Amino acid sequence: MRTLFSENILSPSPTPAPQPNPFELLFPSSLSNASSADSTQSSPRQNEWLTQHLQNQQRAESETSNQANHAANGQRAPYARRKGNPKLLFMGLRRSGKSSIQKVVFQKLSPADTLFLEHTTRIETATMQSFITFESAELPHHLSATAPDFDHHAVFSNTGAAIWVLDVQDEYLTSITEMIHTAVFLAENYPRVNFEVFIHKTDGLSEEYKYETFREVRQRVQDELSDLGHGDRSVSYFQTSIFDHSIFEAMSKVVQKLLPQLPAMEALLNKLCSTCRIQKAYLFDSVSKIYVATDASPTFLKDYEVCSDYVDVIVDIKQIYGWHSQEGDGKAVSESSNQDDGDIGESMVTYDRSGDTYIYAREINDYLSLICVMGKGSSTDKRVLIDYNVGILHDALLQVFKV
Amino acid sequence: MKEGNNVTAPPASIPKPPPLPTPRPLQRARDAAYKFIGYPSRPSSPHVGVRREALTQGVTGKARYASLTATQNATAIHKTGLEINTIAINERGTHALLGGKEIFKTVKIEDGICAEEVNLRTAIRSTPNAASGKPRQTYSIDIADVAWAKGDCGDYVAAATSSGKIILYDLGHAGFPAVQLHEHFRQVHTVTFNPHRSTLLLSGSQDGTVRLWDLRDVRHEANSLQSKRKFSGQSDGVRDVKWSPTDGVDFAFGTDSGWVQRWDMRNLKAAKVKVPAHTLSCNIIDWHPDGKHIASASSDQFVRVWDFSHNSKQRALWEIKAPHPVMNARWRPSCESSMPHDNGARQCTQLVTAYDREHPVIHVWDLRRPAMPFREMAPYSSAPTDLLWHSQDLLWTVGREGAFLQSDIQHAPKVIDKRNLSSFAISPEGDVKFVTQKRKQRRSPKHHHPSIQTSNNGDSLSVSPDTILLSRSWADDSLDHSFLRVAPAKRQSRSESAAAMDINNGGPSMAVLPLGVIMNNRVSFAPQQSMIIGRLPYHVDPDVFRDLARGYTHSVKLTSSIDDGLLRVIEDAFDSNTQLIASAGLHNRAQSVKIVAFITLNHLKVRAKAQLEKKVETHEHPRHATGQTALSALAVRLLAEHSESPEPWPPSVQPVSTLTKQLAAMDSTSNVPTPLARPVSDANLSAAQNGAQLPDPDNDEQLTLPPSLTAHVQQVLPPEISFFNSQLTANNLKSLTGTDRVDMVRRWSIQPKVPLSLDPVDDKPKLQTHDSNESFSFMVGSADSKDLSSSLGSARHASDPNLLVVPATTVRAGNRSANGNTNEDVAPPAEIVEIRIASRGREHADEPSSSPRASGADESLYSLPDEPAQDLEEGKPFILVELLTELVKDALKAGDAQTATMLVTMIAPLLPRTHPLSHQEVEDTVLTYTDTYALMGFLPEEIAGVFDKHLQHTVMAGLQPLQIESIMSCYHEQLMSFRMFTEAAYLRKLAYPAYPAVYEDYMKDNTIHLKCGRCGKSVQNGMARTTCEGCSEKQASCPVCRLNESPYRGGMLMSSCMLCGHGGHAECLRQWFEDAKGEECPTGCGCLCSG
Repeated sequence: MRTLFSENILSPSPTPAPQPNPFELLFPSSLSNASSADSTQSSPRQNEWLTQHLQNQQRAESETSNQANHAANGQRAPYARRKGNPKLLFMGLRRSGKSSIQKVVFQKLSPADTLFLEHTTRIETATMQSFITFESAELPHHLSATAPDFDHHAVFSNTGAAIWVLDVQDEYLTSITEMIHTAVFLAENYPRVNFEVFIHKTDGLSEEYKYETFREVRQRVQDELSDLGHGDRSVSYFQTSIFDHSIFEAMSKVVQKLLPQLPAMEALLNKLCSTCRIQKAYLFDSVSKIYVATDASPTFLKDYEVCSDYVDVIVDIKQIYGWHSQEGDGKAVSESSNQDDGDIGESMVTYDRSGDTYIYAREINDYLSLICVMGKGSSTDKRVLIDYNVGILHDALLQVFKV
Repeated sequence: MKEGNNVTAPPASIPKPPPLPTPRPLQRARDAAYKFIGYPSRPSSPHVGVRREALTQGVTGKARYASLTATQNATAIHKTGLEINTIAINERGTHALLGGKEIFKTVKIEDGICAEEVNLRTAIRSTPNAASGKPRQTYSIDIADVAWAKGDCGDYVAAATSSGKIILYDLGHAGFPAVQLHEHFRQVHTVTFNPHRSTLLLSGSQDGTVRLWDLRDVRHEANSLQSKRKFSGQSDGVRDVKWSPTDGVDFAFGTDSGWVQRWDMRNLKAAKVKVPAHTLSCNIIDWHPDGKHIASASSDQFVRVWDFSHNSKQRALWEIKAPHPVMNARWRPSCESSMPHDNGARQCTQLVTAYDREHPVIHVWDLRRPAMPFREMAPYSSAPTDLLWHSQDLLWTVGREGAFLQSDIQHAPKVIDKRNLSSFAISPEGDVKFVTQKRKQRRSPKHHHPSIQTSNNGDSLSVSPDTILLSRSWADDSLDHSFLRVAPAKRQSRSESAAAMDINNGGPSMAVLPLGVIMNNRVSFAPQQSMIIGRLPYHVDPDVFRDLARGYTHSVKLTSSIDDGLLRVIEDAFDSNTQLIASAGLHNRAQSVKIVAFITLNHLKVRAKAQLEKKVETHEHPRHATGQTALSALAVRLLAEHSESPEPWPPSVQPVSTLTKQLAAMDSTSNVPTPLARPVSDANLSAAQNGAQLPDPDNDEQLTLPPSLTAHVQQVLPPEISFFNSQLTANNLKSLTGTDRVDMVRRWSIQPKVPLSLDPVDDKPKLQTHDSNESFSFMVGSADSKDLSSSLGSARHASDPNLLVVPATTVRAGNRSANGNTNEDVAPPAEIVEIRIASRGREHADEPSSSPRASGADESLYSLPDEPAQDLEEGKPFILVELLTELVKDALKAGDAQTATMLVTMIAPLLPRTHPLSHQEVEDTVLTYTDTYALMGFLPEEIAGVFDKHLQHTVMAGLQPLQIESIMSCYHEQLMSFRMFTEAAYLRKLAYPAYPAVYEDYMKDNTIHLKCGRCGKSVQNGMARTTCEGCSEKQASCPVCRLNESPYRGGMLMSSCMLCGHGGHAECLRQWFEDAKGEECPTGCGCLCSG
């Protein structure tokens, strides 16, 4: 695993722990409002300092302002904060879809509306506060990352993953060349930054063509990188489109690599799956629809789609009936079981007639939910077992995150 | 002992062949003892002698399980009831190791009997202390993969767990984990022992690393074995790792993101070959026995075979498109090639695949025919979790149901046996293609192997044919003639095969042929199929059909009286048809048409004469035929019966109940102004019903109220008289045809009928004109012009079934003005608007009523008026109806619906009503049609109208309408299949509304598109934009004003000429043609639009 952390960071400093009530002001209103308000609130300042960096101004100054920002923000040290939040940097050619991805994933813009987005001319950032605070920034194409007059340190030093967005419907050879330059640059200077490639705008392409271009891009980049002596460097490729769930899945995988708790969560989910005969279990960040962990069985986009739609439904209903479970447990088929805390959010929905396979949702906390696709043999009479095991998982997860 | 001997020996007579495990009588007792004692007295050492024999079989190409006789089914099952995740086999093939969450044991398989041998799990559980003496940690292990070491480590098994530990066990000391290897920090997906040096163990994990372990170290440093090598650099989980079968230092693995890589274990830096094989996770890889090729299977439903012997950019050499996401795939062990020149070398072209959980089927594919699985079986109710080949024929599978199964693949059904081996298709043009293949009833052995010939299972024994089919061949069993066949089929001579055997026996030449050699150098693997292609007999020549369809005249414009003009028209029509047929070379048919034409004309002449005489006699008092049944009356009666019956009845036909209700309904649903329902005064109505008043063509905007249902029955007959009385002039006929066309357009797509009703309270006629603003909104910015007009022009000869026929507009406008019609509402634009509205479900235009009955005077369109009382054909050699019936019958015998349709449509309206169908037949027919119409949503009065206008004549003339309908719909189908949409549309027009079968399917879902006048493509975005997507040509502006809106009122409503295709604002055109007395098209194209 390649993270920014030493392994021991796992236990001492948990991460992005949502503070007791950080979002109370935000969430009762509309969700999109919340995140957009958030981004507008934070972006001027951030842009300011990022742009300052770009203009080669003193870094220290902004650092202090940044620190001040954090000091105001919470009790965590600024350094930890920078490391703790997965920070993503989008790069790519002009009009390749960087802003669209950012807007769709982090600001819940409707995909159809991305048509009207303007060119981005400066570094745009967006944050999404949820269970994990995602930070993303977009590097406009004209600010070449490899240019010597560029303040690399400001941009890359705290970046977790650099995402190269490649428009597959365009002429992508130039993009590949630039991408390789960037990848080599990163590999040489910032080897801890994950490099990911989104082969973007795959919607509307035929299967055959998709596979061919995907293979072609991967092979080409691989060959070029090995020729340049970085063949061992791992580059992940994802086929994405903002019009379906693939972008969320790709983002999930990118984010997961930045989470130090991933092995622990995965092990927990694996255990749960094998004990309760669960086909597939996801830990969803409820707001962003990004899953922070899943069990190790093969993943199918179909499962993810179903689960993410379900999360959507739950979140939507929460928006209606109140974000906090005390205010009403408005779930589709809600079976609120009163356990110790009394406010466990839990719901399930079946999607075939036999009722054998169903989806089970359980809230770990307000912004993290466990969604399981149950397999055959875990019918409702096994509910006691399932509830018990999920309860254990719940506690364990809370321990992992030390909330 | 050599293998050849095993093979050649008749199975019945020889004692147990060597590959079978030697019975170890004490083993079981010893195992039992382990369980209780927990510690064996001594580790069971591998049986050296047995292994030596096993090694002679060769490592890769295990021979057939030799105890299997030719027909024996070696299926065996071992049920545990616990979910099994994975399976491994020991080197000798005698034992299986099963691993799962709650199961971990070895099973011995012998002669189809499975028995548990060492239950590791129980042993572990019953051992309270660890080897070091400390209390054992209690934990449950969830085993994801197991492997069984080979060679002198044959007692070691490795289990990979989901927690990231790999635990090694010595089967001799079953209770204690020999060593735990814990370096992976995420789930370990796979472990595998090197087949050449059995101490080397590879493990692949979700954490993206592959680690190499050396078991020799175990002895020195128990419990703390470090991995020797770590191959990392993957960003995602490693799903499967396999050692190369030929090269002891190479291995390959597949990752979650679809990469397949080949590594040399001595090189930690980078992969030897790295291929992006799949778009989704690569679930399994398997080396081909030749050591060069790797098959990779993935969730993206592909199995791809790659050449991994060189590192260059490559594509998959072969691929199999599987029906489901592939979770498991294994090459079938190689078998002897049946090709004589291979000299018994081994080959391997088949692999087995298993799919994801929901798809329990297992397929055996042959790369030589990758489009279809070779064999298929579904042993469990869900997909097997793991599988491996025990030998060439025996497949071991384990599943979630907890059963270990050894299945004999020879007994799995062949997919091809379930398929049709022949297939044919007919093109619409009449070409037929037929492919067939001979199905082999009996499978004779291809490879004349001595063992088969000397086998006792010959004919002397009574064997069921089923087992004969299964006669086992030691060679390539995919080459059965129905699935694959080597062409040219070469008979193998005995000597050749004997020679092959010699070589086989002479040395250990068990080399496996490289896959490429098999696949590329032998193009001849193909099923042998015969194909026939040609013209279908009795099918029309497509060219002739097209020509005739284009040229046929189907109907003539009829007038009410038979005069010379009509006769000439009819004669011309027949002449042109005859010439057309003759020019197509069908002189026979031409001749018969000629004769029919002659007789018809003669008959008409006689009728004309009779009519003339009669007119003189009884001009004032037309006598109504008393014996003639009025079908409409019958229909109405039937309808009434129906509505009384409790049966549910389409709501549209329900008897008119309360006027207020309907008015309310109308208000609630209509969002379009309905300007036309104009009340008619009672006096007017009664006058019309009495037939005293002739329909006034100038007044035809006036709505004739359909009689209410209750009043209808008594009032059926009087209008009947008026039909015959009405004197139509050529002048009013034209406008009436127009009316009718509008009617048809309106009815073209089925829509909810608005009950037309008169508001009794409101005396004042609702002179509500069409609200132009409303309708213009449909046309806004749309129809500026040339483009529109040309589109309408072409729409007239609708070339598409979905295209509506739009009636001429400008011409009509001219006519109307000539008639002195000063109505505010211009008819033509309204027609266009109306179409648009109609597509919304409701419609009304300022044209007369849509009730066919109301405009009964245009009946003459559909049939020639006739006096049924007088049979003018008495004494004639041919009776026209019978002649027609016979001709139609004759044409139909030849499958010629075209000619039949032509004859029927031409002659039926001209027939005399002297030979009606029998009463019973009439009643049945009427019943059928009444039902059909009612179901289609016709109102009762409309049904009556249809009967009056269309079917009455047909039935009275002695033709069965059902037959006509079927003929026409048959012809219509032919036209559609020939893509002759214009002709089909015309035919539909002829059939409307009497024969629903013809037009029914094409009336729904009609949409109108404008056609671009420049590029000829339809403008998909309708009228929303004024540019064509195809050529981005803008719509031309109005030629008169060149403005967006007409300067003379009327807004943006456009109208166009059907002849030249030019158009403009309706008001502008009106100004041009009426006030400015323009003769030609305002664009100056020379078209006499108003003429």
